[in-house]
Amino acid sequence: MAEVILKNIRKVYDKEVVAVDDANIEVKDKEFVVLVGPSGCGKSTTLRMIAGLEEISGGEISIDGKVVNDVPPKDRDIAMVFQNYALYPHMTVYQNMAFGLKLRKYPKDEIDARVQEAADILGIQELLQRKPKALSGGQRQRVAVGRAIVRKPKVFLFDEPLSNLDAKLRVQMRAEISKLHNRLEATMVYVTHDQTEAMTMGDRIVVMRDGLIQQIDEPLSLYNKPVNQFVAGFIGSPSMNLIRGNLSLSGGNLLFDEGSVQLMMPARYTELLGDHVGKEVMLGIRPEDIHDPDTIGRNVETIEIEAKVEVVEPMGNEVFLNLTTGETSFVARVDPLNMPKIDQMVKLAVEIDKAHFFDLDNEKSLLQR
Amino acid sequence: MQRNWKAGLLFILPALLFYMLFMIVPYGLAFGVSFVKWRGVSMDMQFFGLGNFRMMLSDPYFWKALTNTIFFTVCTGVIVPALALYFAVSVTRRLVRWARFYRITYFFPNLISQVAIAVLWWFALNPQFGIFSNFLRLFGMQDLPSWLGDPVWAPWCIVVVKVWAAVGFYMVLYVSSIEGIPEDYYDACRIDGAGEWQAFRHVTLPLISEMMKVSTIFLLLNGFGTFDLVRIMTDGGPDRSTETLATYIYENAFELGKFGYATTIAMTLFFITFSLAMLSLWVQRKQAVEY
Repeated sequence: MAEVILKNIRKVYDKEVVAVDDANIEVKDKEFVVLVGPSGCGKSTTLRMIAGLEEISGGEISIDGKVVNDVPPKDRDIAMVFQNYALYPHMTVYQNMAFGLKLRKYPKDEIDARVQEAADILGIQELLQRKPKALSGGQRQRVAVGRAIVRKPKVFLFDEPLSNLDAKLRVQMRAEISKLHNRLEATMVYVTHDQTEAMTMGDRIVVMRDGLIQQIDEPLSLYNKPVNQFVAGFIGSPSMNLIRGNLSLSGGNLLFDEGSVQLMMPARYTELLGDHVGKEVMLGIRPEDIHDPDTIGRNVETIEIEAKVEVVEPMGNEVFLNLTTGETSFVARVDPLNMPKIDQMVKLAVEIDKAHFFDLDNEKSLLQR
Repeated sequence: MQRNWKAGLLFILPALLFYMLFMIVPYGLAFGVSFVKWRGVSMDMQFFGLGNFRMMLSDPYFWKALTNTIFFTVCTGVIVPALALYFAVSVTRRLVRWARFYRITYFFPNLISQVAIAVLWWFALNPQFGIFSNFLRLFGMQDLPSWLGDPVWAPWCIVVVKVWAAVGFYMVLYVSSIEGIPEDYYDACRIDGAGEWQAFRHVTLPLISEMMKVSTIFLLLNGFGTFDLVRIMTDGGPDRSTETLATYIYENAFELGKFGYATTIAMTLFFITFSLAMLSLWVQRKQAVEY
């Protein structure tokens, strides 16, 4: 297996559309790195540049210590799983899986052995003589993964491989790919727009937006310490609540004033945000950090607010409340025990220690945690 | 079910009547005419039994025309798909620059009538002032044949013109078929280790094979009906070297006044093309590849 290093990678289409700009990523040996971001952020382009399917406009890509900028895809020792599986429709599952080995002129016995081994791993032995059209989405996905496995490549690349599956199958396949990663101990680069996939599968996550890397970090670090407002909003479901307001000093403590909501911040915030007194900032608070006061522990430092319930979304184990106070709307994720009714006024405890603050101009986090 | 069948019949009845009146009845009448001697100018017909068929089988000009027709059909049936596929792959897989320009240029002959094409090429192939001979003379070739007046060269000239006139249309058919192949297959193929040739062999060709089969059948049917180009460029000559069944039928019917005999040959041609049409349906019965 191998490490993949992207240095100052840039991709420009038609000399003016910048798809990826100055991307620097180091994927360590045996690491599972997920590229995540909204549509058009450049994540698939980055993956395709690693695969050699897109020429790079600038920078350097190396796989296993060898610069591969001008190396064709077939010589990069990579395998790729595509969003639409890309199984050749006129070939059987066996032929699809054996195709790459056949082109590389492997002996028939070895091709047989490798295909059987991959089929065993993925549990698709009984599908080997079927054509892709006779397979379900999940089975096609397994075959596509099988086609990658038989090659025993240095690096596996996945381009949104679960996007076409239904929600239940997606969860199942997510776990299977993670298990496969552990079993093969392979270097894997995985592209998705689904932050849940990214959080659950990746050793590290690369968050991209408009061709630029926003943050590279481990899943929990991304969640707890987003470097900017975009990452904070993108990671986590439901998204982080973002509320615009003024910071002022009141009795030595910072006061966040949105108009209808005033939050007196604990003393330690005065030092962290002192430079922004008198300025507008963006406060971020995750829905799970807004609690029902009755269910919260005593040692948790909270600020109480009152809000009107607009929508109630019961999820079974939890409830999402869409709330308003004045002009501000936000979401709280609360315990289903005391489920309020629509239009009811409720008291909520905001776990203020979990609050994030972002600069309004550059959207960067103002907290140095 | 019975009521549905009757209602269905009612819906197709107008089209069926039209088809019967203008297709089945004339074919039936023609079939009858092939058993008579008839000059075509009056209703004076003499029953001749299988005489026309016996005459046809012992007619060396018929066999010559049939051989030539098969020659044109096979040549165009092989060369046109091969060239059209080559051009289609070149422009869709971006193996050449100015791909769009070539697409339009190659399709251009399809906008001109076959008669105009024949006249154009008749001029181009003129041994004295034709552009083709003059072009070859630029390279010092002086002893050039009379292209359309030479029994060896004339059939090949017809083949060239037929190919030139048809290749653009089939190229467009193949282009649309190739463009329907998802790009992911080519990406997967490149990662699997295929070059451009292997991608063509293992992806493009199998995935457009249905279109190839159907278009080849069309070409075969078209080849057996070769008439206008030959009629204008060579009139079947020299020495009947370019005579086709269609021009021979025309000659017998409208120049020699042998309508009965001409109809017999026409019926033979009909059975050949009908068999090819059946073959076409048989080929197409196989389900198309599903992506």
